[in-house]
Amino acid sequence: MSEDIRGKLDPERIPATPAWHLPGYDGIDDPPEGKPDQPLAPALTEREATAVAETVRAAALRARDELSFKQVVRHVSRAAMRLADPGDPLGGEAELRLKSGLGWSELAARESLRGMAREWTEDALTSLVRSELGDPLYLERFVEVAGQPGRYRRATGPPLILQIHAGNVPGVPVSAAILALLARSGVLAKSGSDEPWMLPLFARALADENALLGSALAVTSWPGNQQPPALRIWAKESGKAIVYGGEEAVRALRGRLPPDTEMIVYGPRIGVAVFLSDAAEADPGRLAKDVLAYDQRGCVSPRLVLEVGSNSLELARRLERELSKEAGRLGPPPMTDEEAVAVRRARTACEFEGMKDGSTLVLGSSDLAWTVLARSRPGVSSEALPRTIWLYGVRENDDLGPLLRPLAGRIQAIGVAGRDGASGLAELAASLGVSRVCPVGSMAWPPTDWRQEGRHRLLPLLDWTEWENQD
Amino acid sequence: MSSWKGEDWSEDKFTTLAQQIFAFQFEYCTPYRNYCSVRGVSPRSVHDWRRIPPVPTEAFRHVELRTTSTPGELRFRTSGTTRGSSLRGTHIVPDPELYRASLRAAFRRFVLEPRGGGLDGSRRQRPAPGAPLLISLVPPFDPADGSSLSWMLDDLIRSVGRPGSRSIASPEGIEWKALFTLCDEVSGPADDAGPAGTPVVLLGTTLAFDAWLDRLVASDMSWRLPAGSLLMDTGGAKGREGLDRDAVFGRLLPRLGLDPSHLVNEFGMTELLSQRYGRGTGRPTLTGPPWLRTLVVDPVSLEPRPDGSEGILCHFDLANLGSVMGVLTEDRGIRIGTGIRLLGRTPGAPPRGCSLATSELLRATETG
Repeated sequence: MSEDIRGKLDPERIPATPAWHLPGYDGIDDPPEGKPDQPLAPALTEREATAVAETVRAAALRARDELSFKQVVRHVSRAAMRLADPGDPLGGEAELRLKSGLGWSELAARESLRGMAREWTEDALTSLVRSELGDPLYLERFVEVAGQPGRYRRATGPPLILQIHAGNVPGVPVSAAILALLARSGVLAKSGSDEPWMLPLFARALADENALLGSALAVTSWPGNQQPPALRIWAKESGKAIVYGGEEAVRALRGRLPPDTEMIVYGPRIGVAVFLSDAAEADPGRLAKDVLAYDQRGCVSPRLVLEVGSNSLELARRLERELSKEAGRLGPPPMTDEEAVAVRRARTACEFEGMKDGSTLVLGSSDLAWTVLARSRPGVSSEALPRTIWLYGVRENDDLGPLLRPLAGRIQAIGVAGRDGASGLAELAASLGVSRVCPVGSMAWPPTDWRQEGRHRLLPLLDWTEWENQD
Repeated sequence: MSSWKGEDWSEDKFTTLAQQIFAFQFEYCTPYRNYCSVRGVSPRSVHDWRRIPPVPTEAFRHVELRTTSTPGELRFRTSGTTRGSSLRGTHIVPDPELYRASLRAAFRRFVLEPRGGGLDGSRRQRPAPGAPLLISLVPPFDPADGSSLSWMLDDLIRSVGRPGSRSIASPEGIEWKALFTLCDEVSGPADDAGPAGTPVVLLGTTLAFDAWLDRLVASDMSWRLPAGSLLMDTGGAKGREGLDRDAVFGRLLPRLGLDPSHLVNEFGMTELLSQRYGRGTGRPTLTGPPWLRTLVVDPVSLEPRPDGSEGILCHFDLANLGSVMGVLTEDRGIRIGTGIRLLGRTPGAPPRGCSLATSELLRATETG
């Protein structure tokens, strides 16, 4: 799907951004872009990977001395916000990259970037830090602990943090890099193969904004099944490692990390929406927006929908119009042949399963732009298919626990429509390790300080130093 | 192919027959009628056989697609290996005679008489008299297992093979010793044209031939099979992981004194009663009888794609009178004239971002 977008950019204003940003790398300048089987970034030798790591480390350490926390927030925010501004050359390129790389429509790309930018504002970032640390100054200097004179604390990230990205939701790697920079760490990042562009674009914007911070972030990519020298060197040099992805990505990284290097994993999760028994009047359009945001690629995107006290078929019909409208607005989804075949298979299975007793209903557009697979019986089976909802009827609230328990630890968010039993559902969510319960309609846009996967976002990057001053 | 043994098989004839069969299946196959009705299609609304709704193979896993019930009906089971479903599909054949007629006619035409003459297409070899000895490396048909391949080969052994034709496999595996003995017996003293004995047609899956090759290599054995002998493999082009058809037969054929013109690839599906055949190694162009037509369609829109374009294969088999004629597969292929080139099974949809199928999530929970 990837195509050469250079012709679509105005070279007078800005040339195309390479899919890598490697401070301290002295190799070729021209990226091998546009040919699907070619790597998008240079293959670093051990020496080159080491040089990049050293450059990034040195820049990060210098930035700790030269830039205040407020300055860092301002710089990273300004750089990131450029990506969501279609009037900015880099924002324009970001949209083009999402269109050509992921096959999204212009509107889908724009809304996706705007959605992500909600957590990139200075206010949002500062509020995230306050919510986790209380006082952002902990990131700048020793701060006296309230009520304990002479006792101080300071929080510092390691000089280098390694990040391995999945690339399913385009802005996520940018947010992750921002958090590491707020922790005053340098970042060595591998972009996801689905979408390798946003992070280099952010790095370029950051370098424009502040050259020192721009040198504290390195981004490259390599084929997912490879373990090149850069991975080995960067894993060895980093104090912490963050990996987004499935077991394979985790295993590949774990084998490369020194035993005492902490690894933070963001693994596969799904979003679940529950329509409680009093949700008959709930606006299905809100669920449609949740489903189609980020093309249903996020771990918070609802895929499994349970309707309590109903056979789900009526809800499916109510969803039909809304999904059709929202899909029409955003344009057809990108779809591989494999995905198209899988969607048709899922539709066929659902349709023929219910042919004897009318217990199923399949609704969807002929171009596969959206699909609802409704079953009147309870269930949780689902597959990750483009814009596809797996809808099941559930007799009563008490049935939700046994149904969802097998998915404990694998549900990222539960969206709720209705009030009858909402508190019980929240309790159930807590027992299942669900990290967020929210109204249907806001599933795809969690607040910045949401504790993704049940943990803080910034704190795990930090190490604390206690200073008990004797004076 | 507009004629078949002197019969007219024009577009008009196919269309007429297809419409009649569609009307019959619409009336008597209730799940199919429901399927068509949901799509607003009925025999009255269809004037082109290409517009007759094909049923995806997945449907065979969930319902019995049959037009009638007969005491002598056959029940075939699919392998159940499709990603995303562990159910095995069932294809019910109310009238086995139609299956036999289609199978035998196409086998004779495309395997035994490929160039309108003798058993072997190679002109330099002597035409072999009489029927060949058919040896199957597939276990005989067991109704409990319901393998259509076993049933087909059993039928060919009975109807086309000379006495002595048989299967030399059981559910426990291939009787290798019997196969080696057979090769010893039929392979006479070699001359340029090969021994003049009874030609042998060895029938099996590509996997079985691969296993045989391993044994021949390990024991460094080879023969020169009688002139006109053939190998017919099935299944290898569907992309079984790690199995390279060229690599298997590029090494096996010379050990049997054969060349690629002595190799036939069969393409069949449990859901179809007619088959296609192609000659040679690699991915040969597969041709079939005129009552089997195949469209290559766009996987999203299901609209037919032009010749030479890649897409998903959709078969219309008039021999499928007792079930459904149109079968939409998950196989990728290219249409070349009236033939097709099979490119393999469409792999399962890859995981999207951090989202996995529930089954994979559960597996991850269990192992994680």
